[in-house]
Amino acid sequence: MIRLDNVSMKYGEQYAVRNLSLDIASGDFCVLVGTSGCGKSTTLKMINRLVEHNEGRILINNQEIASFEINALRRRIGYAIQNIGLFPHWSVAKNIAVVPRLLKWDAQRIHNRVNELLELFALDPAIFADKMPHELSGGQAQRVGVARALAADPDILLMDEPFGALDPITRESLQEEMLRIQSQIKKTIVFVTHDIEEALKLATRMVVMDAGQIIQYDTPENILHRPANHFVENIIGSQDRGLKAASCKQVRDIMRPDPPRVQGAAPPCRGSGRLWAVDGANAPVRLLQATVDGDASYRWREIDVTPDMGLQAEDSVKLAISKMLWRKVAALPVLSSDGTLLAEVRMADLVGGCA
Amino acid sequence: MWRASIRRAPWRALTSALLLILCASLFPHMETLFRWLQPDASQVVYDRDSFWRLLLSHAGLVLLSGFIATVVGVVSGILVTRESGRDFLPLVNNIASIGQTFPPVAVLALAVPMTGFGGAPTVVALTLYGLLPVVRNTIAGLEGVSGAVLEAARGMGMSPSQVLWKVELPLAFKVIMAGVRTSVTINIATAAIGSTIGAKTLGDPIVAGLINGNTAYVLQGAILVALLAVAADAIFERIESASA
Repeated sequence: MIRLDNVSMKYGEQYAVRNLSLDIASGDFCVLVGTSGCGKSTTLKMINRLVEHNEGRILINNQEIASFEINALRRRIGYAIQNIGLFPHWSVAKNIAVVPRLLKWDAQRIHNRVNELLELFALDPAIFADKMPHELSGGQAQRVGVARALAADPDILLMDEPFGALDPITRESLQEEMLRIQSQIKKTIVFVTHDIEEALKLATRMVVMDAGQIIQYDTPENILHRPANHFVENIIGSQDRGLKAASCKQVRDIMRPDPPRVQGAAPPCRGSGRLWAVDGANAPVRLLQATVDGDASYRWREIDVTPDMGLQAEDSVKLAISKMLWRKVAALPVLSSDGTLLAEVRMADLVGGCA
Repeated sequence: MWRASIRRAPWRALTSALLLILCASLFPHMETLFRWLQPDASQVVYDRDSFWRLLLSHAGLVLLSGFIATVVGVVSGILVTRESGRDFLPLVNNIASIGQTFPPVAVLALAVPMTGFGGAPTVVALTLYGLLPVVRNTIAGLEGVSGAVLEAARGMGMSPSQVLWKVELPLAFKVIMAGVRTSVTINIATAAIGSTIGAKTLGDPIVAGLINGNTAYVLQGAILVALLAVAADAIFERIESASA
């Protein structure tokens, strides 16, 4: 899909990117990560020719990008940046419609596309279409920024630290949204960040860069478990690797569906292991944990299930661990969207059966 | 404050324009009043030209020079902020700053040897003098457009001329208009000095009044110049708030 073949770019005598080769497959979420000045932004901008490379070839679908008319090329590639750059004199709808208008779509088609995108980003068209950029919060503005990048339905989406300027909570919710949207639209995304957790969370493939060169190009799993060298190890941080690995795994990967449960409040007189007490609507009410008393008799330890204990299948495993530590329980319920008990997550599964 | 100025502006433009028309038409009939001001003069109402002719000629000189200054100023401001003209940006910026420090009388005096006496040197001087605020504000307005907006525009596939017309000029419009407004209002006042080199302006009664010690003449010219400046300023304010 996107191929960089021995590409170099220099500012004056200084190489920003040197002899870089990279293949990005269709539908990949490829995240370039590295310290500032490592050439990741330059690499991204060479793809839509905001920065022109000096040596080597860059191909999109086996066609060299130098052969495209430059503005036609850019209209085929979505582009979202850290400072968003919404046009302050245009409404949200007009901002999103920029590329379709450049491509001379008819008004009805543009209108439909704008509404479709606003809904995709959970922005009500009735409220947001006519707002001006200065009326938006940072998170809303960047949603519009990404919607604008997707407006003409490009195959490729370039994102240059798009969430870097947002507060941590907004950033996290936009990351989740990005994952949800990518699962629907399946674009080829090239994403630049210096935030390693963001990279691990979003990427299907990661490129770790330093001094204008690729140090490691691999899946997030492999980068975590088999870092190519000391530099990569440093970047991912060797101490809390376990938590980082957990943050790029989803609850659905480790949950056990259909855990044992009982209807109503009354537990059976004798029990072993663990049970979920559910109400009439199959929503978990209590966690029943069998414990052995001093006189060797079984007893149920009851723990009330509070709303903050519930997990969603797409939550990160890191969140599950955090909730277990906070509530001091060894199991958590996984709820469906309507609050019914879907599965459970066990501490034992997290540590490979040693708990 | 921003809201209030929008609501006040139409009122101000209208009243100042009405007052201007009223004064230009009624001064010739207000001999009693001016006689009270200047009891010793033989003549108390300026009558070598009608106030209307002076007003129209004055406004004409300002409009012509203002038009030329705006076109030349905006175009050169655009040129020096393009990639290819960047090298000239400091030069033009400096000329604009230095030019502003010249007194207008000196510019008028320097224009006479080139074009002779009359309206022509006045237009030259007013154009040169009016150029500077326009150039400066055009540069400031275009430079003020955020880099992120420009990067987004280019990255989205707008051609350089689309970026200029759809993004840069609309965003810089207010600042550019403020420059034109300054330029025109200053030149309404400066044009009066054109009378000293033979242009027909509202400065005629002022100059005549100063020479003959006739306060009434000075007052008639000065009131009309001031009202014209206030009216022009109010009209610009209207344009600016309408574009916001």
